[in-house]
Amino acid sequence: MSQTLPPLLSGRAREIFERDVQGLRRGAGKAFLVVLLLQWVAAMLIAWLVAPYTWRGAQSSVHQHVILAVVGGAALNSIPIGLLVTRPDARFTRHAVAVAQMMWAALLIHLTGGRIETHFHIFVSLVMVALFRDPWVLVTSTVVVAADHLLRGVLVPQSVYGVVGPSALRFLEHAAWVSCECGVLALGLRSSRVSMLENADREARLEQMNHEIEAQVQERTRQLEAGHERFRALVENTNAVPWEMDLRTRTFSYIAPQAGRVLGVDLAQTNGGRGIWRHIHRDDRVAFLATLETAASRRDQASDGFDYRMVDGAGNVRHVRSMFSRVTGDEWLLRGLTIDVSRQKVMELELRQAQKLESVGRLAAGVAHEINTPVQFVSDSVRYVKEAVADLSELLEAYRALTTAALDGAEAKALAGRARAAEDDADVEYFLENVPVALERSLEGLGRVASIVRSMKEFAHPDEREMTCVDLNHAIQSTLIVATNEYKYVADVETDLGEIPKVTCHGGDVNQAILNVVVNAAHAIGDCVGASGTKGRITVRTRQQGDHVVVAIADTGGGIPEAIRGRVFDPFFTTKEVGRGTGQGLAIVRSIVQEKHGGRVDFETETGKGTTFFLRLPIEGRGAKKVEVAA
Amino acid sequence: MTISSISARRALVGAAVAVWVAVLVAGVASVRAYSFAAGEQSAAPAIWPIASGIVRESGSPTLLVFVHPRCPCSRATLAELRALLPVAVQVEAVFLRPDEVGAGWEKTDTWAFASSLPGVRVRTDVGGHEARRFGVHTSGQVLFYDAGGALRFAGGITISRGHEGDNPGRRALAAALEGHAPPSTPVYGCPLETSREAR
Repeated sequence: MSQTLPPLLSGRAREIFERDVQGLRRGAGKAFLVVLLLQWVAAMLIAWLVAPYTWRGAQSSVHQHVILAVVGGAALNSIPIGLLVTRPDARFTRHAVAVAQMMWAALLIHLTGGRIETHFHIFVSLVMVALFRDPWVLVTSTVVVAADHLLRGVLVPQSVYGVVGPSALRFLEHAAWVSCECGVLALGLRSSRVSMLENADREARLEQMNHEIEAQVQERTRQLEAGHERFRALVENTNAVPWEMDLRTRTFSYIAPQAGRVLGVDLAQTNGGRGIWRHIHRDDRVAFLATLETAASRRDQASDGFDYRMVDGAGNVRHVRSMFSRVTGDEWLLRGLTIDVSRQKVMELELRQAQKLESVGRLAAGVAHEINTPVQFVSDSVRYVKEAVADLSELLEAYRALTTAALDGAEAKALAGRARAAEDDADVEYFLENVPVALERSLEGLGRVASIVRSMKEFAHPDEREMTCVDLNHAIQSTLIVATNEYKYVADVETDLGEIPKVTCHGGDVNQAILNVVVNAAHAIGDCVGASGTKGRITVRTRQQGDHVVVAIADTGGGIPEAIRGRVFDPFFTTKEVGRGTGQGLAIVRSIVQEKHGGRVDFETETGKGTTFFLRLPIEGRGAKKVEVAA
Repeated sequence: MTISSISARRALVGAAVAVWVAVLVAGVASVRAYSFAAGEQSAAPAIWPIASGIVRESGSPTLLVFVHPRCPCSRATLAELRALLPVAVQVEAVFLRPDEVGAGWEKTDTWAFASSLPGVRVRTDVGGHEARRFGVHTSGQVLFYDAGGALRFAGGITISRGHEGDNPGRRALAAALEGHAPPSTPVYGCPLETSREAR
């Protein structure tokens, strides 16, 4: 226990100290209220039990002790109790209580007939008085006791000391005992005061610290709220819809309010509920769920984005894209962003169509050349037949004349000779041998033209909005026809088309993808063979692998350099010279195969040897896994 | 609150406290006065009265203590007597029973206490005749007659009403038991006789 006073206290510490001391004094005051009253009751009981009556013969009257206890006790308590009630904190009140308490000791000693045990009341009273935490009150108590001892010790020493004619030292001995107790109590008060001052100082410092912390917390809270409000305004005033989903229950723990406006979602049904399912297009629910399950099973922290369709309350279909990532520290929580890409999809469709037409346009010269050759065949063949028919007509005329002359009985020998000469001129043998060939060639040529035209028609036809079942082998063949002029000078094409089922897809887009890869392969081979006159080889294979079909397009070009292998699918990335390519080809291939069809495109390459591109397409279309979706 | 009202209030409180202190002092004085107010005492017979109904044992000193059975102060007298209890002395505790009361009135806790003292005979003084014969008016008075029947001591043996402890009366009795003749001492107790008005 510290015996030294703490350093200079702050004003607040002093306030706390005074408050604590006042609290203790008030507590002591309340205790004394009870004690004074109890002592009064005790005095009346003692007086009544010990000496209730005084007698004169057979007559009795109330003993003076009883009157003393009732009236004297009331008088003794009057001022202290009155002050304790009206002025509990006044210094004078404490002194008045001290005087009354010590007087009670004298009264009780008297009522118990000087009983030695009752004298202990004095020492107990001093301790009680010390509860006021005021050493001056101890002084008052001691003065009262000393005055009583002194007075009675002089006048009736036996009542104080129990003997007649005590020495003066007896008074000092009594005084010493009382002083000793007061001294110990005073030391205790001082020590208690020091502790209380230290506690008050500590409390004041803690209060100060608390205020500072509270101020900081309030400031931080204000900043957080401002930041939160700013963030909220930022998040909820865009056309992107942030959300949070619990993968275990497949419910949204949060979805931004603009979802109603941007996505047409019924927020009352969606937040915390499973109502989102009714807004996902029926045909995309399986794929959507598969994406979630993949996110749940994989440890990948983020997805690149997943496109699907949503249906709003009015039945309108919107194309949306969701990007999400797992929440750090919670493997079951996804946070993501969904945007309406309907307009973008329309533009992509138009762009794709434009690109398709651009491809068609680019290929037009080649196609025209391809058509021109068979048309030339047809033209030459038809011309030959025309000339042959002209010659045959002259022969026929000669034979007619001969026939007429023979029928008329005229000399036919000369006519026969002219017919023979006409036959020789017509070269009938040659005619009979070559006209069928010419006609065959014409039919072939027309067939080729028809094939090219049909292929072009199929290629350039806009896609249906829904997927259809497509024979990929046939599509590959059509595409190869269309692209003939791109590769025929630099490469031979071999096809190894396996037994594959029809694939649910957008046929036009798949054709576009295959065309882009084939054209790239032709360009790669062309860069290698240059003007050497040699040709490379483009091999197209199709195989079924489980629930996918793989189209492998291999070339014998120079391969893809390692430095750029990671960028070949990047939009607008190209190694070709200006005017020869826009860098969109492989980007479009990836967009079509992966994003639109949920497939996969990758490649194997060896520098100097060539490159093989693999296009993997799901047979049943995007989201092929059959999973029940609870709405 | 104005300065004048504060001053008036303080003056009022000061006056109340002064009155209180005065009342306390007066109370203390009153208590002291009562406690040290000795009872009536007359001269006791110098020689044992032959007419007394109390029979003295021949050759034995006799000590009488007269007690009002319901006086609260006399218990202290008996307690002081217990401290002395002389040997070879006939000790008689004479308990008053006024005429106005019935038998058994005197059989109180004080009677039982006196009965418990070794060597003390307890007797009833019906009507207070013995008390009058010996000139005793106040409860707690002690009379000591020597073996020859001469009075050696008459007085009280407590310091004040109902208080035990060393006192001049006890010392005087002790001196008388040793053969001395100390002076009389005040008796503190209840009067034995009913007032004339009450009779």
